[in-house]
This record gives sequence, structure tokens and C-alpha cells, in this order.
Amino acid sequence: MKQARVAAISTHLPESTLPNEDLERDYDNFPADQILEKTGIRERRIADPTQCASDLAYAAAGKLFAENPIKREEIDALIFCSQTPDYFLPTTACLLQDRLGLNTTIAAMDINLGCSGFVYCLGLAKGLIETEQANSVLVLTADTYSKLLHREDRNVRSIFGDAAAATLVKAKESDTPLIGPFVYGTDGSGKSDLIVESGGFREQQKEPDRRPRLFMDGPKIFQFTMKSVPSLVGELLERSRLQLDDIDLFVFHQANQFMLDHLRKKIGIPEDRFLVAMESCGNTVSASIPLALEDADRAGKLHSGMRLMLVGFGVGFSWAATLVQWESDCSGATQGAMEPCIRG
Amino acid sequence: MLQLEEHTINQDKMSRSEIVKIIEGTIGESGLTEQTNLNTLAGWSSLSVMSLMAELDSEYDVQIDIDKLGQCKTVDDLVTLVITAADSR
Repeated sequence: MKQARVAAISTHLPESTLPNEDLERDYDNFPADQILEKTGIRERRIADPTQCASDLAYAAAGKLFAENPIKREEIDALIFCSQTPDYFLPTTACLLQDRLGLNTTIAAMDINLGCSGFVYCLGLAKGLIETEQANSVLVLTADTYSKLLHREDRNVRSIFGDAAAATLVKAKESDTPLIGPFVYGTDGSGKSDLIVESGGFREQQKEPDRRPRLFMDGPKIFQFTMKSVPSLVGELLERSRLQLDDIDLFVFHQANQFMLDHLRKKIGIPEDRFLVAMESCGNTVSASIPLALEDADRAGKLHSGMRLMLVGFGVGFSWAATLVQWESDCSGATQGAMEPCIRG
Repeated sequence: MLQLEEHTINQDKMSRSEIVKIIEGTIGESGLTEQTNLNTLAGWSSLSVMSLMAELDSEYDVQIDIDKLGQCKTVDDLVTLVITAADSR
């Protein structure tokens, strides 16, 4: 039976960095060591003014093709997940099809999701493959939140970093599912707690010239995760008829150290089966889970047959979780140029 | 469903003075009285609010509503909110 599997992951980070020492200089009473202690982040990567999320995604995809035995003409669907597209229209995935030299016969689409986006992309890719609409789906998750952050807002500047990940999801003959099941969730009543109001059409009449600016209510987001994430994990385990101990590694969206520590303890996940990988890249939105996976692979923490639980949650509010069976050739990026992002 | 493995949650009744100590610990201030105005405290920030929420949740299984917390003006208001939340466990 044809099953979707994660076949490869490659990532790309922009070169410019924003270390904690720079943030300490920019604000009163904001010591670099305390930022590290609370967020788990030492530095973030920041896209140049002319660099868009699609540029980072293009570079990540280029690495994917260079590092793995996959030909561009094999790709038959492209999903670009981002909240910082090049234009309102056309669809950024269309631009990337052309730029990457992919066939004009492919399906290409954007999806606008943040920190839950990677898991949703895997769900969509699985659907395309297992209904025989595609064989090889290129999932590009990329964002440049730095362009939405106001210089005066130290909280969001200390958390978010720019990044892209390219993930190849391919068909494989298998008797058992290699991705899934999925649990999804949505609660749009949380829209005001993490939002960029300006730039869209709802607020256009009020302040037509205002630059897009991200607003985040940290405690509200924290409350949302405390309520939704433990039950999300529990529901996926129930649906899979598994226990916590049956999961070899938990890979949560890399929100920040404080939040992940609390969620891990609340759920009861042992520290050695919980991935934290944001120290040198920050919270990279929908690229954070594949970045963490690539880091873990590079650090030798991933082995064939491991059962991973991927958990995304954030802006929307939106959340999703799934299981992935890791295979040893899932990432060919072990010689990549990126510095390891892993903590500890 | 999930079992909490790492923490033995304190389900005892919480005293007002105990709650004041928890607040002091999470916001990094000492000598608070119930009349202290929260907004005059340098340590009262979104981060300390989250630390307080995390501490109450993980150690005492008490979940405080963030909207109600935002309406608290004094330490006394906050202590009352925590006790109400603890009683509804």
C-alpha cells in the first residue's frame, strides 16, 4: 500500500545574527544572560532587508536537491507555508516553482499558518500522496517574522528568528502508516493575542499607511498552550493506542525554553526524550520542527524505526500533532553548512 | 489520559501568606503586603505573570484566568483570585 513518508529535510538560516548582547544594549534592564535563561535562545538569525521568506526557502530547497538523490523533475506538488509571502498575489509557491525549475505540471499552493504549519503540511502532503494525486511533495516552511517586529518590542525581538526548511515527503510501499494519525485544533477566538493587524484589508481604512507590526500577548499565548497542548498530546496517544513511553522522541514547536520546560513537565515527558533546539536560531515559526529534526539527526539522536511525535501550536490559535516513523535516510543534510542549533 | 509523573501536586488548602510568598518568589520581590499595588512593582511583567501561572499550575494544579489576573490591582486581589481558583480544583 502506498504510504507517505518523510524522506529528507534540509534547512537554511540567513547569515545576519541578533545575539542577546545586542538586545542588552538596546534596552534598559535586559541582561543577556537572563534572556538566555528565560528563552533558551542565545542568538537569532535575521534576514537582510531585501531577503524574503521565499529566498530562504529557495536556498533550503537548493540544499535538499544537492544533498539527496531526488531530481527536480520528480517533484509533483509544492506546498509553501508562510505568513510573510512575497506578495498578496501571486501565490509564492508559483514563484518558487519557476525559480526552482520544477515542472509546470505540478500542483503548487501556499498555506498561511504559523507554528502549527509544519504538521498541517505533513497532513496535506500525506493526503495528496495516499489519494494518488502526487508521489513526491516538496514542503517549504519559511518565515521572516523579523520584518514584523517593532524595534521597541523587546519581548518578541528576543524570541523570533528567521529560517526556512525544505522537507521532501515521498510515496513508499509499506503495510503500516509512516506518518500519522493526525490531531488538529483551531480556536480563532485567540486571534487578537498574536496578530499583525495592518497590511491586510480588515484594518485598511483605519490606518492605510501603517507598517505591519506583530503584537503578541505572551501570557495569553502561555495560557492557550497550557490548555491545548497537553490534551493534544493525550488525544494523539489515545487515537494511536499508545502510551507516553511508546514515543521515542517528542519534537514540539520550538516556542521558547520557558514554555517548553513547563509543557514537558506538565505532560510528564522525560527530559532525554524531549528535543530542545533553539539556542542559536530562536523561534522560527513553521520551520522550527524540521530545524529541530535536522539538528537531532546531525547530533546522532535519530535512528531508523524511531517513533517521533511532532507537535505544533501557536498563532490562530491553531494546533496539530502527528507521529512520524523516522528512517535513517530521512535527512541527507549531515554535511550541511549550518551550525548546529541544538542546546546542551 | 496523561499522568503527571514528575510532580507531587500540593492539593492542600493554600494560605494567604503562602500565596504571597509564591508571588514574591516568581516576581523577584520581597516584603510585599496585601495592599501593595502590583503596577508599582518593577518585577511585575508579562514574564513574571507567566512564571506565576507556571508555578501555580505545576506545583499546585491551580489555573488562573489571565483576563481576571489582568483586572487585579493589588496583591490582595491576586491572592483572592488564586484562592478562588484553588477552591475550584
